[in-house]
Amino acid sequence: MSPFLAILVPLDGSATAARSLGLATWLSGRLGARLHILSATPVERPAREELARLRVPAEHWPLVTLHQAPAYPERAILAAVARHDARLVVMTARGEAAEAPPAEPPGAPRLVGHVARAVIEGSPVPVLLLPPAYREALPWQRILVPVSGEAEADEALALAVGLANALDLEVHVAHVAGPDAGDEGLAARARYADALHHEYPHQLQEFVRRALPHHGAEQCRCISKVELCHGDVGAELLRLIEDSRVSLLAVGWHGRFLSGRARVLTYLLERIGCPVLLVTGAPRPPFRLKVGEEIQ
Amino acid sequence: VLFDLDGVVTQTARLHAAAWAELFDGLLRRRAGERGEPVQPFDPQADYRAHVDGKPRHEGVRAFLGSRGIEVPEGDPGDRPGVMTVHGLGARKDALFQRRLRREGVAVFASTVALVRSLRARGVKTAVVSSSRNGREVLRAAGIEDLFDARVDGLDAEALGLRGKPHPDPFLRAAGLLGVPPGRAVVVEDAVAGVEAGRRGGFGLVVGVDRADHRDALAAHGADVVVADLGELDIAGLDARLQARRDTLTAWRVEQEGLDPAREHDMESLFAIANGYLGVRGAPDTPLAGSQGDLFVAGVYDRKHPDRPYSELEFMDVGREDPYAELVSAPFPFRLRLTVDGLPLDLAGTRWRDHRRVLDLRHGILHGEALYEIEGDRRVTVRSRRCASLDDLHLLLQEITVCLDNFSGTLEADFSLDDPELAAHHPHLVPRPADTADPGGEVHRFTTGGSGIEVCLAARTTLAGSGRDAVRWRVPAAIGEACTFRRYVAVYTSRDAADPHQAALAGLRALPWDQFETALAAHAARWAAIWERADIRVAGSPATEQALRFNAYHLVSAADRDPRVSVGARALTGRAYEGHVFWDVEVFKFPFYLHTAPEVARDLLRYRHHTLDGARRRARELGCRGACYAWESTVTGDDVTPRTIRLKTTGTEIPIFTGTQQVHVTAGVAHAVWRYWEATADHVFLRDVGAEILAETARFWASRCARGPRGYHIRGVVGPDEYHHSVDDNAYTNWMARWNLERAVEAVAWLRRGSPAAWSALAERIGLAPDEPRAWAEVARELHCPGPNGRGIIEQFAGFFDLEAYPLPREERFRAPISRLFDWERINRLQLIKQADVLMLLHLFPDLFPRAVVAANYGYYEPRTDHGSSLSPGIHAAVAARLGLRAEAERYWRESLWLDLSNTMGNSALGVHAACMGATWQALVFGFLGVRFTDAGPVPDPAAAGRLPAKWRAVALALTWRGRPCPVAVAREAAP
Repeated sequence: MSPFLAILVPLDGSATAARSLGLATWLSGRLGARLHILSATPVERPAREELARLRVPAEHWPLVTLHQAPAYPERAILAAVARHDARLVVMTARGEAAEAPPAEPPGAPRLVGHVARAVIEGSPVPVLLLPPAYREALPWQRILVPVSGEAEADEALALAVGLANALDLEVHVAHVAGPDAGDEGLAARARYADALHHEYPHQLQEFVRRALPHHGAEQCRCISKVELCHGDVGAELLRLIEDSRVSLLAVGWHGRFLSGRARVLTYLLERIGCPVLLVTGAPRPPFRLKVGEEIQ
Repeated sequence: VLFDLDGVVTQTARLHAAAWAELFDGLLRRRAGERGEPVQPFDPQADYRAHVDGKPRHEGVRAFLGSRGIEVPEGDPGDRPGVMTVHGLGARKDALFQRRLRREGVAVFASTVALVRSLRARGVKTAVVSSSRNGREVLRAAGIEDLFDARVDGLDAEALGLRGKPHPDPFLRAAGLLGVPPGRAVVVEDAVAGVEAGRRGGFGLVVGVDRADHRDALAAHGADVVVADLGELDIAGLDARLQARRDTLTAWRVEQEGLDPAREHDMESLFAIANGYLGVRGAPDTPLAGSQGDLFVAGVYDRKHPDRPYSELEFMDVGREDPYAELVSAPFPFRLRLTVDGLPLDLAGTRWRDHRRVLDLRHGILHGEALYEIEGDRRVTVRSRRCASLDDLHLLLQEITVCLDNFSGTLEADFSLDDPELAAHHPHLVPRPADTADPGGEVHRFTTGGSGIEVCLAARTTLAGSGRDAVRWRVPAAIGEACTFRRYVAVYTSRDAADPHQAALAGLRALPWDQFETALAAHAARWAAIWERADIRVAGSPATEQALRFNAYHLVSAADRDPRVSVGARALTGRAYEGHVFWDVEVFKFPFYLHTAPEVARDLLRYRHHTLDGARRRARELGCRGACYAWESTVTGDDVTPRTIRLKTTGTEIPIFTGTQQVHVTAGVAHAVWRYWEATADHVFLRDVGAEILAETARFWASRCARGPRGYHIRGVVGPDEYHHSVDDNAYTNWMARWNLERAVEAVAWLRRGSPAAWSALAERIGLAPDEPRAWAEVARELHCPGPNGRGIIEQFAGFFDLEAYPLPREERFRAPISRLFDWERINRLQLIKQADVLMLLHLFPDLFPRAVVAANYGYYEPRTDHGSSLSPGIHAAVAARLGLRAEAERYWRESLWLDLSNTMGNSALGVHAACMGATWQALVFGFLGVRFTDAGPVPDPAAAGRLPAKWRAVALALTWRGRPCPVAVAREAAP
């Protein structure tokens, strides 16, 4: 079953933003998902004319719902996500600003425009973000998912496995134990790790399987590689993306672009040519183990 | 004490039922007339109990109309009485009730009022809790407005947004008003929804008052005690029941509420059930797709499978071709698929509301409970219990009770054990044809691919009252009726029976259904007998008692009486360590068994005797004589430790030194043999089993020690601290080896003296020359055993003091960076140790050196230890406690005690840490209590009372010594 029943792609009228259409159309076609195109245009045109202008192949038109307005600011995009029950947003990191860059507010990153940033920070659904150096390479072959033990990363892996099953892709999973690994991740989970051959193989597997409690073995077969790396997280992921010719990077994140691990994301967005699927975590269900102070 | 109002304090149930009937009957008549159908009026008994009793009125409207398939709009709370909305009808019912209340008045139950007055006279706080918006009015009408300290009624619930019963909100609110935690409060209720609210709220005691002949329903929904009238209870009885219930609620059980799928594998380990012969992880009866509900059978190993799930995608062992290399997992034997009216009830979907697992430690039974809400506000409760019988080790028992709480429907239950992904989940197993002649039963036969062991699971299931067996059921289920299914599963392997298939079928045939409760009781009786010897009471700390019992539960569950098997590192609860047997058994777990179940301890040593040939082969492989036990062994005693592992990503090979160098395990086995003999005076064992182990291990050491210019040395070993390999004269190893040699000399002399025939037979069997023990004595005498230097410190191994200092950062203690395991050569050059090594020696031999030396070594090694093993904190706690370092001892002990329950290591998903549990027990008994054994029995250290952790008032346990359990008690005060 497709993990995305409806996909939304916002276009600001620029050629840069329009680069996301090819990928969005391909995904929609492969997944049988309805594609909502938000086309910012000063003049509303008949749908067929506008789709032809946007170079959406005619065979995809039955799956497309076109929306036109003079502009689609971030609030309009997020409202459209809710209104159309979209499960995925596909957009470029920058739009028309990339073609005529205005003065940036101090401190803002140049590689993600303010609309994209607002959408990825505010979107309740995953966002497929095309980096500035995006190179279209369809069909996709494999997804790389960095895991850390955090709920967001688990969510990204679950989504990637769903996508891989729907699109017949491979999933590579990597955990990079960075030198500054914090309280999360395998490094933290590996307290009293004992000898290398006793714990780590199973633990690495458990690291993956805990993210996929609702997936059976058959669905997990798409995971063809699980790697444990150590070193600089960004550099290691970049190496894996390049070495394995990764089509899509699926990452869990906290939803704040300028904080914490978003530094790794920024580092990668500057350098990679594949799209990035940004997934925020779902809240954990209620859980309580009544031991220790719980029973005192 | 929290009292429900209607039906417990006041006799208003009749008024309510009449008001509901008046409301609904008019509506039902109109509807029937419109449709030309016969009228089915509201039943003031059955419908009242099932749908409206105890609930807020709008919920009652919804539930009853839903049960008749009638939908009305919600409306809003301002709807006028009689408007055809949920709220309008609710308001109408209220008006009808009030009219009756004014007209007919309300009577009270005198016995209840008397109990309340009596409670208040004793200073016990009371509250009245009602779903009714008329609560205050009813109290006023009954003349008992001031009877209670607090009251919560429907108006409060509305104002505070409290959910109605069976949600516990109103009772929790009342407890909050009284300032009493739920665990210390009693709920008294007459409605099924009310007792369920009490149970869900975690109240200390739930009393059901059976006014309507529904005693079973009250009990089934959570009443701990059911009475016909509160006159049957007095304050002393209530208090005794509350205390007993609290005891059971807390320290005798481990409970998990809710469900976090990401933590399911952790929970499966904690809630595993086992009886030593087999173990089953605690997956739900309706498993998630990713559940790992493995069944393990002790001794069933197979060749390492190259592409199983959970395989080492990153790591590859090299050279592991042993046919008994890893413990085999078999399919989950409690699998169930449930649907009601075609809708699946499982924990993967969105229909479950409440879920809990309760491990009853006292009886060794795992309880499960799930509440589902399906379309149309229909509720289904599923309760289960299961156990791995201690009375019949081949038997698993399971009971599932399904109750359609507020509707009738069709229940389908599929008990087939077919695993839809067998090959992926259990790749060691090759299915074989099985006898399917019995249509009511089910048989699954497998053979392991490499070792050729046959495993057979046979099952029968019945529905209580049906008089038949079936695998798949489709039955009508009436509202409120409990449908109880029972299943027997028999497990046999070709290691137990020539024809396991027939043995399993015969086992099942021997079990009539009327013996199900008897079988459960026999299992519980075994546990009761075990707790007589294994329980530890800690006055002042129920949480500690709970954790100690949890640990004891898993240690007891882990050990079989079969001398062909021993206890794996994660027992029968997980796949980590592949079921391998390490030094953990004799050095960490053994004392627990020795002093709580010496017969189990003996059988663990018989495993070492049974695998002596494997140990002899290993000694020969190492160029030595005698027997050297494998660092990692399974059923043959051959060493299954990999020699290297290869990282797939980089191709890097990392050598594993433990298999060839960690030879101290051999002395650990000998140590356990001697301790067993000391503790039991089991001379027959020493004569027939122990002496041979001691002789063969001494022979190994004599050949392993190398003569140098100033005595003997043991070179090229790994000690307990596995960060350093190829070291010479590891203090722990050498002292243990000397002890092994000396005890072997003693044992052989004892044998020659007391049993010349046995001595001759042994000497002939193992080719022992009469003067060989003299050679052992000489090696022991001249073996270099590092002693304390000028500062009192024993050098861990030759050259340790010269290694590069490594100031261990605080954040790396208990949390070694992953690079530590990859940078093994660098670590080998640092003064950084993984776990207690010299301290291990000082723990095992508390009298070897004076206290000052123990203190000096603790002070030196403790800061250099990163605790890269779960075995380390317990030993540090033991040594620190003996030194009187109370804060440190407590800190380490807590770390060890709650290691699995708090998932400190983050890897309890892979199985519980059985050896850590043993170390925790030792730290308490030999550390905090400082127990020593004399001929008269165990004697705690006179200073022990001063070492007890904070909040403990007293500790009491029994230690078995020379055939009898000896009570040991240490109290902070004169009497707790």
